[in-house]
Amino acid sequence: MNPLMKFGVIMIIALELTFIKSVTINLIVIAVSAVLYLILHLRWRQWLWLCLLPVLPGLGSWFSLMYFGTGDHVHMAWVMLSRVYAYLWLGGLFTLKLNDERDIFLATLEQRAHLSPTFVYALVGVLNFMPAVNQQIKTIRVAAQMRGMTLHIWEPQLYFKAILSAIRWSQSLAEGMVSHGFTEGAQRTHLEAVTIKRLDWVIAIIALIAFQLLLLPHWY
Amino acid sequence: MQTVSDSKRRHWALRDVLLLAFVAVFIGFIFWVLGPVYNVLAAALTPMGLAPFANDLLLGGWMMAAPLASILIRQAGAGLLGELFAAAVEMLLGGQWGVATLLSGLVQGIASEAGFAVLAYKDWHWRGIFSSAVTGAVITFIWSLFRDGYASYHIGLLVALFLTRFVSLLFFGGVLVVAIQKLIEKAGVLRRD
Repeated sequence: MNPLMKFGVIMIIALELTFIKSVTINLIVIAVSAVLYLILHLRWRQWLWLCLLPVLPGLGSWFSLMYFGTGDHVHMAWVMLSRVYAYLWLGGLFTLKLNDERDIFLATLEQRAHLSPTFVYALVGVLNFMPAVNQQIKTIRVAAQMRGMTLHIWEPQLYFKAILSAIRWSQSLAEGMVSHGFTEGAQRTHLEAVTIKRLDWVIAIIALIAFQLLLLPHWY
Repeated sequence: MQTVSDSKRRHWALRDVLLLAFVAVFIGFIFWVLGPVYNVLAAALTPMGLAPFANDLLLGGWMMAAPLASILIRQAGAGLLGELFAAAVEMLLGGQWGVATLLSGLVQGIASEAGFAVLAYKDWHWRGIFSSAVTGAVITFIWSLFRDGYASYHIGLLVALFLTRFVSLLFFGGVLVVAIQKLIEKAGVLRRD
């Protein structure tokens, strides 16, 4: 399925989950995601990630609602615990495959969703810089430590230096892109045209309708 | 020295988009480095049922990308885009909230942007920054009533959580951003044309 279509369906369902107070619905979302993961053949590390990551925020909400809730708070505690899992398991369908599908996702954004190429290619450029950004932050902190300063998060110096790097790099990248022929606002041709299959639309619509039908009985 | 486009232009220039994306990624990473600190704090507070305080205490930090993007680019929509970029980074790094991170990023971006919007995008200094911190705290709190189940808490805890969030935003999104802006202006690294 086209990653942008998948993304759209996931975002709509996630938005609805925010307002639905139902453990059952959350569990159904988790179960359907789990079935899809079985088809996708995840590595055991990814399974572990899916199971462990939501534990902390989930239990955090659960304990708070148990201790300090009012009204139907015991129910709400379970809703929150299952909701955190539902968000991550649902989102994982998109994010875990994103490494393979990133190029086609961005190409779809540009060609089919008609997002300005400036944004799409800026995103491509900056995403490739992510490891360098991580390194740069370490460098900034180590450089300060060598002068006997520890840059904590509440110190403006840390952000100032990060912004200086951002300014320098954004300028270099902009120059690099322009010198490689990127022209703002120009009509682009595409080596590989992205098409969205009719089947993708059908699957997306069925998934969304099925989810709405699930909500109809008002069992939550 | 970076030249930033004049805010009166409606078109988004490549260099502005890149600058705002880089700022968002840097902020995303700075708070990613702190992830373990947050987790330890949250884990320590969890058995007492006070874990939401960890979240509200650091929220201002997560949201810093928005006011920083606004004061650097000085264009309507910069804060929203900056926060969306930052949320996308957090999601890609494997944030605990999965896709909900992007939804929250959208809400946080709008919340921060609203502060500059009520001043008609005329003030990019301390008034605008503090106004964005206030709208940021209020609007995201309404969102939390739904998403984080805050609506089911005792009123006492709700007030305490809101105050925590408000102080966090006033500090990270207000005091700190004003200080950063002073440093940038003193260094003279930005020019507007």
